[in-house]
Parts: sequence; C-alpha cells; structure tokens
Amino acid sequence: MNRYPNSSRLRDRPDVVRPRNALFGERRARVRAGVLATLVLAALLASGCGPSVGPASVGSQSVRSTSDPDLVAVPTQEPVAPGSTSGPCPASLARGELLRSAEWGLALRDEDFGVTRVVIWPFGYVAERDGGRLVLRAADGTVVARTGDRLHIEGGIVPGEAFLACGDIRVLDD
Amino acid sequence: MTNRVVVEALKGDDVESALRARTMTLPPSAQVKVVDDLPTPAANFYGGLHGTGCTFGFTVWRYTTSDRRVTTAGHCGNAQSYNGTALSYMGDQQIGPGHDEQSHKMSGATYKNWIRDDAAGGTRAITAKTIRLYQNVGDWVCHYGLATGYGCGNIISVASGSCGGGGSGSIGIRVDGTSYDLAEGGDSGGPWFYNGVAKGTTSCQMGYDAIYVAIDVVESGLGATLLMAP
Repeated sequence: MNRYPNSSRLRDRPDVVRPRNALFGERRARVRAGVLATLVLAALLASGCGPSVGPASVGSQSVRSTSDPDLVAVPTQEPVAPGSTSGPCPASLARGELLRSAEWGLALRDEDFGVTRVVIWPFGYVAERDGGRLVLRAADGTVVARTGDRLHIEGGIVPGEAFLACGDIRVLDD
Repeated sequence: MTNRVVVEALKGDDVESALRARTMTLPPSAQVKVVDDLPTPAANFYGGLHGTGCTFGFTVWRYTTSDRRVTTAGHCGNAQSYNGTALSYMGDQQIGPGHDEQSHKMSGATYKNWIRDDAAGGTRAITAKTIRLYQNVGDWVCHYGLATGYGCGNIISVASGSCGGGGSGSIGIRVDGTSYDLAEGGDSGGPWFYNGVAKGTTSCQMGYDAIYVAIDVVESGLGATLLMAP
C-alpha cells in the first residue's frame, strides 16, 4: 500500500498542479456564502472571545431576547467589526439532525458523537416558528434549515462541547 | 489430528444465557475458554486516515518509541473513532494560543510512520520534519484531508492565527489556496508535508486558504515526538 517515494516527489512539485474540478467551483460559492460567518469568527478571535469561550458565557452574551412571538432566540457569535477581513474558521465537521431545544432554541443531534450539542450560529441567525417546526434563518432572512433536517456544519468544537458554526452550513440530501 | 471448537468468552460473560437467547447450542466437544481480552483484528494506524469529523495528522511517540499515538486537531471531538473502532483519547488536548492538537490510540493497532495522502488510500512514509522556524513564506507544501483530499500551495504567512482557541497565538502557517481548495470542514488535523517531510497539521479554513500548526508546535503541545522511522 505504501507508495514509492519517487511518485510522491513528482506529485508534490509545483509544476504539476491539478486544475480544480467542478466540485471545487461549487465549493467557491459555498465559501462565499460563508464569508459572513468567517468574518464573525475573525472578530471573535481578535477580541479573544473565539473558540476558547465556553458555551455558557457565549450563550449569556449572545442569546438575544425578542419580543416577536414567532422568533426564538438562538446563541450566535458576535457581530463583525466594520472593515474586518475574512477570518479563520476551524476546519472540522459536524453532522446531524437539527432539533428544537428548550435551553438553546435549536440544537444539533451530532450523529458522529451521539450527543446533542448547542450550536453557536453566525451572527444574525434566528429561529422562527413555522407551524410545528422551527425554521433557522440567516441574517439576510434566507431559510437555512428546519428542525428535522439533517445538517452539515463546518467549524469546530469549543470548550463545553458546543459547536462553533463558522463555515459552510447546509442541509444534507438523504 | 481432530478438529475442535473453542469459544472464548470474557470473564463474567454468561455464555449459556447468550446461547439460549440465540437458540444455539454447542457440541459436547466444544470448549468454553474464559479470557481477559478478546482478540481484535490488527490494523495499521497512521496520519491522514479519516476520523470523526476530522482527519488524523501524524504518528508521534511519547516516553519511548513504542508508546505511539496519532494526532488530530485539538478543536476536534475527543471521542474519535476510526473505521468503526472507538479510539482512546490521551487527555492531551491543546487549544491554547497557537496550539490546536490532541492525540489518540487504537487498541491492537500497528502504528506506522506513514500518512495517507490521496483519495485512493495511497500512503507515503514520513522520515523527516521541518520546524516552524525553517518554514518560510514562498515554500511549497502539500496536504491531505478527508474533505478536500490532496492539494498543495505556497506559504503566504508564518504568523497567522490558528483555530485552537484562547487567542490566535499568531504562529499558524497560512497556505495560499489559489491552486487548490486547501481546507473545508473535516480536514482539521490532517497532515501537511512535502515529499516525506512533515510540516504540520490543519487547523483552519479561510476561504480556499488553509492555516496549519507547525509540527514542532504540535510536538511541544503533546510532549511527544514525530515518528520518523518504522
């Protein structure tokens, strides 16, 4: 199974770069969609309030109450500082079902770890009641997901086992 | 020579009840042997293999070269598994400034100084390392991760924030993603290398760019040494 070193050397050379495939073009669009999220994390990191912040303190700082009876507050990251550039986002992955949570508004049933996690959503995300389900909306009002959907969320686990959602967030087609 | 059946059972297991529940019986000649541990299939374990929501980085050792474990990113879940086998977390997660690493062991595994480096499961041997001090802007480096696979790029910064938390630390190494998409969710912890030389492990995505933690930073965080020989 071990490849011979010479083939590795050839493949690593800068002059044998492979072109991106179509999938990567698709990823570009998703990355753009996630720019806001990474900007938010940049602000978090710059302020020292990034992934080192436990979920309890994140929740107390960023779960905003609302007087709109249709809206449900969810934990979110801090807003982006004006003029900030795109920031780094942990490159791990969580997958699972989006659930209603009495404590956090929404939570993720992490199918890989078999636990329910609070998710710290990008700034501006809200949950909205829609019949018997909750709808997760992005800051621009776009519907991101509904409870019961199976999600792919990019980011990283922070102390307290919360998941910081700062990269691509999408519904998986089952 | 005669054939015979030996059933191994863990201490405390109720073999009779288990057989009855499955409406099975053992032939009179069968022997039930009580053992402390059941055998597990031997498996090679090394960097670049796919973990739980993350990628493994490199094989390292601590105390003695026989005390081996495999790294991943500190911000990944501690309860990692590989190929359906639960791993043992070594309790060494580092997510302080500049750090983003932890390590795991797999029972019964054979640890190799290899990394997986392509989607087909190909591997290469790691026989050397470059510490952060000798990694420079403009260097060409390559990686493997479960999300984006194999890719390479030029280092554009050696003073970027990493994603372990506790502040950036500003010692992460950022690689230009112009030629390849170098990091997406699931790539964290995966190896960076050139030929057989270890460079570091993935921490962040930043558009198409990636930020990795240098291998010597990973080693110091874990109190471990990169395995560079079989």
